[in-house]
Amino acid sequence: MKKIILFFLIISTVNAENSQKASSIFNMITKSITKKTEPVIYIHKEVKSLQLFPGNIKIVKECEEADIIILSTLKNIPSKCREKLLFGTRYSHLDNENVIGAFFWQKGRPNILFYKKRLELNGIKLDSSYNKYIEK
Amino acid sequence: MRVLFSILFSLSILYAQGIDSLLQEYEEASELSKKTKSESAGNLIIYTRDDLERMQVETLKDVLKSLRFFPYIENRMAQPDTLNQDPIGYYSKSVRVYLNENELLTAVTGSGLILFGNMEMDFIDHIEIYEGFPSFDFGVEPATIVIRLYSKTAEHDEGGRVKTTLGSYGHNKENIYYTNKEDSFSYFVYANRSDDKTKEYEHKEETLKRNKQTNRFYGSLEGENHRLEFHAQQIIGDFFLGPLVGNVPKSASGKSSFINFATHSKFLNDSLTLNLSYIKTQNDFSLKYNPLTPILIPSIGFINSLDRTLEEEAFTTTLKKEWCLDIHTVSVGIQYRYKHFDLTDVEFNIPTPPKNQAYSREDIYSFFLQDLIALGDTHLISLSVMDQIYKRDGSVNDPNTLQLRAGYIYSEKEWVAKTFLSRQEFASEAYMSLASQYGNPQLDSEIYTSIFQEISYETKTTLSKVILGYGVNENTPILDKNFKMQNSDTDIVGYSAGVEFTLFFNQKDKLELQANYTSIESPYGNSNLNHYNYTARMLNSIWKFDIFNELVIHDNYSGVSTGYDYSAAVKYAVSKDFHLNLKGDNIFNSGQKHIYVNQINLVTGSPSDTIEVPVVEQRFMFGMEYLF
Repeated sequence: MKKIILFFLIISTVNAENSQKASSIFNMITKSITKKTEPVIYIHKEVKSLQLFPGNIKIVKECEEADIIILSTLKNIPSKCREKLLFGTRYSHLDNENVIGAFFWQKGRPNILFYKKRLELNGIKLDSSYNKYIEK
Repeated sequence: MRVLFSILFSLSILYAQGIDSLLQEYEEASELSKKTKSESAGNLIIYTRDDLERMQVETLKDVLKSLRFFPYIENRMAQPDTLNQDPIGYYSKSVRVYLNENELLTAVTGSGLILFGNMEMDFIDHIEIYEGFPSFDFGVEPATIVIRLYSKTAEHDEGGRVKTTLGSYGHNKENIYYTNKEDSFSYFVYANRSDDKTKEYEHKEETLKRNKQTNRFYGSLEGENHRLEFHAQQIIGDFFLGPLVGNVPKSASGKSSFINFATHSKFLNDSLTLNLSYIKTQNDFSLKYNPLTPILIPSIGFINSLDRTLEEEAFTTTLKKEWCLDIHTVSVGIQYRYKHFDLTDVEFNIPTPPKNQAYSREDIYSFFLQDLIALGDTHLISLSVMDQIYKRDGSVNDPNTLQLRAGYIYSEKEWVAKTFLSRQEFASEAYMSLASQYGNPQLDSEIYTSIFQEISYETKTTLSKVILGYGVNENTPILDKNFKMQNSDTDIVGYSAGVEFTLFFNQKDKLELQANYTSIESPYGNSNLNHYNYTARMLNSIWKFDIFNELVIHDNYSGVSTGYDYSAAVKYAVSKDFHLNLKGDNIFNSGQKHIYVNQINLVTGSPSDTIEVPVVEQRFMFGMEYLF
């Protein structure tokens, strides 16, 4: 379809802008965790914003190659992934003590949350701009 | 497209100010209203979630009171009726209210505004209002105004909130919602109890009250392609003047119960949608008059009391398919609605013969076809046709109504121009045909022909709009000399014009200025209704405070003095999860008033006694909300 229907373009632009901003946040977080300019991640199972707009993140198909595993569900996480750094996309993912933090929607706003103990256990030190997102 | 976004993405990373500002930008970009709004569907007014929260919108009335061209009014039974023509009980049949994809309606009035026009907004994410005879793909029957309410969902609101509000005259409201998402489904549950108490008025030694208690439950269960909704509402309260003209009732009270089951399903990559909805409503009301001042109903005699139960049900199914064919986006819809109503359960204090109802069942078969034609990146033409076939039992007309609509939208970076031309036919609704005081089962369909033009200009910090409208109504239902409804012989011409300007002077600060004018010829041969409405609204966020100021001026409306409704609100975030709210509505008690007819001079046919009460009562409220 050569011609783009104007108002579908507007709607798709809105959705894309939304996904692009979410991806920017994932990029920032994963860079801060790994201290790498091009973090390598594995997605279990689906994070549409990152898959559409990976930005500077390299998405791999095997857990072993990844610095961080980004989760859309806690169910059926491959055993090889469990030893990696896990990062959630819902508040409930933090119920799993191996998940170091999460970026999620809750109470009508997007949130970022890390647990201090879990960061320390994994030897991760985030810069001071994350202090308000770290819970003791 | 992907290349474009990759460039934008790199720029945003490069210039990002930090995680805080990025989170805020993401929140704004994720407003659900950006996903649901349809610019081609009509002259659109949006109240985003952020607007509703910072304006401290408690009920739908809070936004409708400043609605462009058609501000909020109530009928003589203290029910929402934006197009009210007192003493006719309800006139807003063409104002349609939707909750998500499902139309909320009562079978007798054909519209949901009467039950939901003052609904609390605590479970609503955002509101879209389409004026100027909106697009046909919204529903089964034609509309002049479509109000779309979208409930909060687990997508953004995982977690819960409890809120309580206390106000003047003992007004109070308590509600709670909770929503959660599992891997394959999500759910949302909400419960509310509100006790809406307002000032009482003395007239002819009787006390008139407009207090209402509302209980509501709403729940939804949603999978990837299907949503199931259950909605129940009960309103118990005062019926203000009651439907009858002649005397002030000693007491007027009523109860309405509403339940609704609805499903929404998407198939074939969302191009095929199926909506099903079942609604059952029961309304009971009781009027008592002073035995020394009974009321005359011509066909019955003098009565001292009236007790009525009105039962209604409606079932609606809508199937819509959309195809994208090169420059065409073609939508086809088939819709069916069944309505049943029983108005025969009426008891007076004197014996009366059993009441016959001209018809009690209505089946509506509706079909629509719409083509959106995109000519390049800046021009969009919309062509729509819709037809309804009404089948009514009993010896009444079976209307066949046809709707035609053409629209042209020009859009480039800063300028948008929308033109909508429509010709619509509105079949009479049951309350117009069957109302015991003024009903006429032989009413013809009304015909509205209109043209609306909207031009807007947007910069980074401003949004300016001009809206012009012209319409002719044929067969307008009016009350004749015998107080029966008849189609007017004269065509009613209406003009409307509006100018709006919004200044965004900071990310979270904006000033809105609106002025609009409506002129409608009187079907009774009186002088034209000329109504001016001015609104100035300012929203500011400073530190932990959200501040709202609004002045709504209604001038020259139905012979009442100019109304100045100044409302203000402050919201203080004690923490991210705990907020304190303070709000004043109509703070100087000088807002718009509305006149209701109490007695009519039978010789001249003009009102001999009237009652004037504020549309929005003066009220101060304090509330708190806790998110968990």
